[in-house]
Amino acid sequence: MRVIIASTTVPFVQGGGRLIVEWTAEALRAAGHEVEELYLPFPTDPRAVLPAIVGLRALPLADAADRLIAIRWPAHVIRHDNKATWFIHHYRELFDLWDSPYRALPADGEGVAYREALRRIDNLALGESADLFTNSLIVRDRVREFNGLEAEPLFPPLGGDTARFHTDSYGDFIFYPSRVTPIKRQLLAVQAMRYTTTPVRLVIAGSPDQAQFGADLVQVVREHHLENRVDLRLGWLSEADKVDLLARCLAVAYLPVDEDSYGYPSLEASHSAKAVITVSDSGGALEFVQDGVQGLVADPTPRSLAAAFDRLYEDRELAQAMGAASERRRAELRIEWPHVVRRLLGEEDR
Amino acid sequence: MKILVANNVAPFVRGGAELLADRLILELRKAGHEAELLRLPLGRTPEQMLDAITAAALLDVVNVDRVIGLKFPAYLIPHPNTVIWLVHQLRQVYDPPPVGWGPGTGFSPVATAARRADQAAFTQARRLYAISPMVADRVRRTNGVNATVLMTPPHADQQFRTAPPEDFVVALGRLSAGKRQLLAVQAMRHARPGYRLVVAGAPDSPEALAQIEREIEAAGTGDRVELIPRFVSEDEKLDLLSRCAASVYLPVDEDSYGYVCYEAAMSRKPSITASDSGGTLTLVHHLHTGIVAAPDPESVARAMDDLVLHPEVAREMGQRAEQCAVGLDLSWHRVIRELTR
Amino acid sequence: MRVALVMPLASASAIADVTLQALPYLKRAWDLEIWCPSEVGLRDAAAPVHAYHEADSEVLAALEGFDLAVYVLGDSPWHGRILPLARALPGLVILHDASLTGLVRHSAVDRNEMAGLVEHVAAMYGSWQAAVIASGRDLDRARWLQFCAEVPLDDYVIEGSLGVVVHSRWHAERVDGRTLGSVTVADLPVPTRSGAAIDDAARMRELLGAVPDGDLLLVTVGSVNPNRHIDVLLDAVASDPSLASRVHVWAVGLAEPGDAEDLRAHAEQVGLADRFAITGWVSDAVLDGILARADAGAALRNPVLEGQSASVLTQMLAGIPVIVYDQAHYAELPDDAVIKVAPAAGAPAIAAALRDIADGQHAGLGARAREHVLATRSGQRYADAIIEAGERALAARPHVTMTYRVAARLRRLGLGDDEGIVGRVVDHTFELYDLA
Repeated sequence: MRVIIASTTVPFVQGGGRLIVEWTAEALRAAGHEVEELYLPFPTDPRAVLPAIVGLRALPLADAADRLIAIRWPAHVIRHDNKATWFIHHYRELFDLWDSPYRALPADGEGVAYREALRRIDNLALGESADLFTNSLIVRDRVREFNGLEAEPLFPPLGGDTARFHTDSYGDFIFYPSRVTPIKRQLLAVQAMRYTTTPVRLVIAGSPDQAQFGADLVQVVREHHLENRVDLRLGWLSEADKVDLLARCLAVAYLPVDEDSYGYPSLEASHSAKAVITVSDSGGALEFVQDGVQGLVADPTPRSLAAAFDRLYEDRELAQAMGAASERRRAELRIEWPHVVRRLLGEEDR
Repeated sequence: MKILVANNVAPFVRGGAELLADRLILELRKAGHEAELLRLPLGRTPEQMLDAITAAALLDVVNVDRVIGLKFPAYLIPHPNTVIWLVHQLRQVYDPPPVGWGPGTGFSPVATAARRADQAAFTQARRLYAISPMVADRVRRTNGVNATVLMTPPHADQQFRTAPPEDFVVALGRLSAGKRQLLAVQAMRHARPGYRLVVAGAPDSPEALAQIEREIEAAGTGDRVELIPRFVSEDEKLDLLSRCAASVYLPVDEDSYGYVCYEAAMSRKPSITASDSGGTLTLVHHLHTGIVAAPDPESVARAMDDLVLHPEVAREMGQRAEQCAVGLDLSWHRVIRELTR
Repeated sequence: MRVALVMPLASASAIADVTLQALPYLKRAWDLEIWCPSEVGLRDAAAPVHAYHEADSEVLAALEGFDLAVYVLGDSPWHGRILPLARALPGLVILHDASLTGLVRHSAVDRNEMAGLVEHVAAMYGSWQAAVIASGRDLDRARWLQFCAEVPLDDYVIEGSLGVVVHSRWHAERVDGRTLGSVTVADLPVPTRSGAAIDDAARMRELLGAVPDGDLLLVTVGSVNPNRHIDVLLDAVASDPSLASRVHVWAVGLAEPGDAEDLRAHAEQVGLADRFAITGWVSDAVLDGILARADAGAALRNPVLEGQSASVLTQMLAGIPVIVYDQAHYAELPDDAVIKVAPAAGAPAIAAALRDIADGQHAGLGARAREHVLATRSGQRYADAIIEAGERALAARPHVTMTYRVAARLRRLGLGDDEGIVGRVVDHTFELYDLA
């Protein structure tokens, strides 16, 4: 088939948003299809959004391919008779973040009018889709709530050469690989290390997106004399190093606040047959990890998290068993490209 | 700088302009810029084309320092710092039929809108360049604006070489009606004895090859024409050029200077081209760097005869041809400098 | 919500008066500041007031800092320095006049924007109309007023607005479709009666002394213009000896010398020279005194250039029977509170109405008129309508802003008037935004 994947971007901002498009294109090509990836610049300011949506709507792609896959808001506005939307999230500042400090506009008549205009457009464009998918159950629920539409959860796998992941051992450290930023709560992991009773260690790896947060982590480590037990690798980590740490760690920690999907670190853990330690308010990660099965779900407090770290340190067999379950979890949830490709193309795949 | 290169996309079709855009991105990055490619569809029907113009007009580009626009309607996108490197306009709007739409075809609204938009975009652009003198001429005639010629550098970075001329004239390039290798083959009916024509290149279509084979059969020039109807590697090509007496390249109204002429010149060999070959006249100056023949077999034959029979003249022409080619400064370094200043 | 109320505060502006009546109630809902063109002798207002000299970029920048700008506009020079702001920064427009031709032209001359205005008029109305605008009043007064009715230029004033407040359903229908926002109808308050004691007793005696007891005093209130049909009133009175012998006709208000001369000549011609007077400007107190004595009023307008008539409301509030033409916003007044005559019926019908009044046929009318005004006109009600219009204006902003930006983008490429492109844009926009 000839497939166009249409996505929106902010030029020169390399977010994880592009990976899903690139990997999906790769998987489609591997399955023998011709793929064009189109990245359309799209503004973020609410006042610029409405006119730009008219522009997207005008794009003449309706008969340019057999199937159009729209990924990232509001690519689904593009017209095509055989359109699949893989919905990642709404224009969050006016929807699920309405009751938060991130709301884009005042909660007055104007803000409400913007929201309703966008809701109407989403209803129209999502409703036109021949197939409607979300990347998580959380987002499926939001689409139900905000748009009254039923979407099918379709979980995004890791792309690239996943054969590089392997398992060497279940060592003595918890590994937390992720962008270092307050919302990922590396600070919580570091604080937990004050309360562990076993020699378990913690390795944090990733680039801080705010220098201050990185400095805060360093400070807490120093303050509580955790230098021997907490390894802060702040900065760019090579893929090879990351794969190696995954292969040797005891388990992976992933502690975001209320994220709307399970995140790639969960999958990296799975590919490395490692358990995932997360917390009860992490959101989408709970769609991947069930407490005691693929990993542990602690309360979002340093002491509860410390107990989880200790427990795995003391019970390597448990760590290994849950690691194996974590590995199996992908198949259970059909987090695999052949399934994703078939569904994105509108084929049945029971 | 953060630079967005704006080009068209005809989904699932890759052509010269796509290669150019990709190469431009690469070279921009090599020069230390951040560069991304934006591709916009043009559409086919009048309604789709009006939509394409609308989509370009309403595209809101943030976080970009400069836009380099290559084709219609991509270069229409709004940005205060736009440089247009015109590969070509929408020729159907400006050329007479059969290329142009002409009146009463349902495309008139597109032509109207395109003219207005072009006028506005060309005037508002910070600078306007054209990839060839032909394109620059056209845009001056149709839109009354001046474009600086900034030619596209050749594809690959090649190692040219020169050797003493052997007894053949070489015709390179994909075999097609538009490139008129047939004309060179027909010329061999009238050529003086003592040399052969080597035609080397993959046929664009079975018919293109069949025509040439029929001509050779009918004219009985099988012993004077060596036909290599397949893809020719860079190495093979450069080898043929280094040893030929001359290169013959006779396209109809080519837009650019012709990579074949450039390669022959860099191999210090004279080129034969036709008076209606268009852009090749940039490098092939009659009796200076080569011969510009009338587009008929006898004239082409005389040109080939002259260069084969007078190797000293040919050698001098070849040297001047190389100087001419070098003088064009067809380097990516120059292109990037112009587009990013 | 921070609101900038851009209005005139000149003491002589009746529009300033009625707007200020809403102020105490507007302040309860809004964090409000008044921005007014500077004049000698500004009214007091119970809100922070910023007076500005020129409608320049500084004022505009300040207004942009508010959540909403509300512009009060009427067809008079008091609003000359408000109009440019309304056109530059979309907001809620409170529109008092149906025709704004005078204001628009005056402002364009002032700001050197005639070329743009002439182009607009040519496109919206026609080339002859554009020529008239370009050259100024080439027409006589009556024809000029007719022109103002036909070429009201309200489109020029409210295109790009977030919404409009008008003061009659008739006016609402006229502006329908000229704003992308909503049109709200508000009941116009009656200009405040100052309630001051008669300040010019001598003048009062002099004037009223001319009307013997038992004679009928018929008044018109407000500036004397050819569209007030005072000549028709005179004809009506003159046509019937029973009226001609008892009725005095007073035009209470300012008149331009030309208009005054014409009317006096007309009165002379029909034999009413000594029963007709033009009082010129009178103070509130004197006006009250005259209205107290008046037996009847007339508010005949043709063509109708205002959105609502403060003068008819003032007369109704005074409890006198008022004769009006049954058209435009006058038709919306209750049938049992005013006397409506068909414009085509002319002097004979007016004469008949006057006879009815003289015969006591409309005994309770005046009282009902007063009741109606008291029941429906108040600062509070006015403020309520404006506040609701403000909410609607906010809700219209996304859509108006979107339309503005799309239009600007198209204009940038010379495609603002391109039929092919505009057609596609309208199709897509309608589908996405459900522009009903």
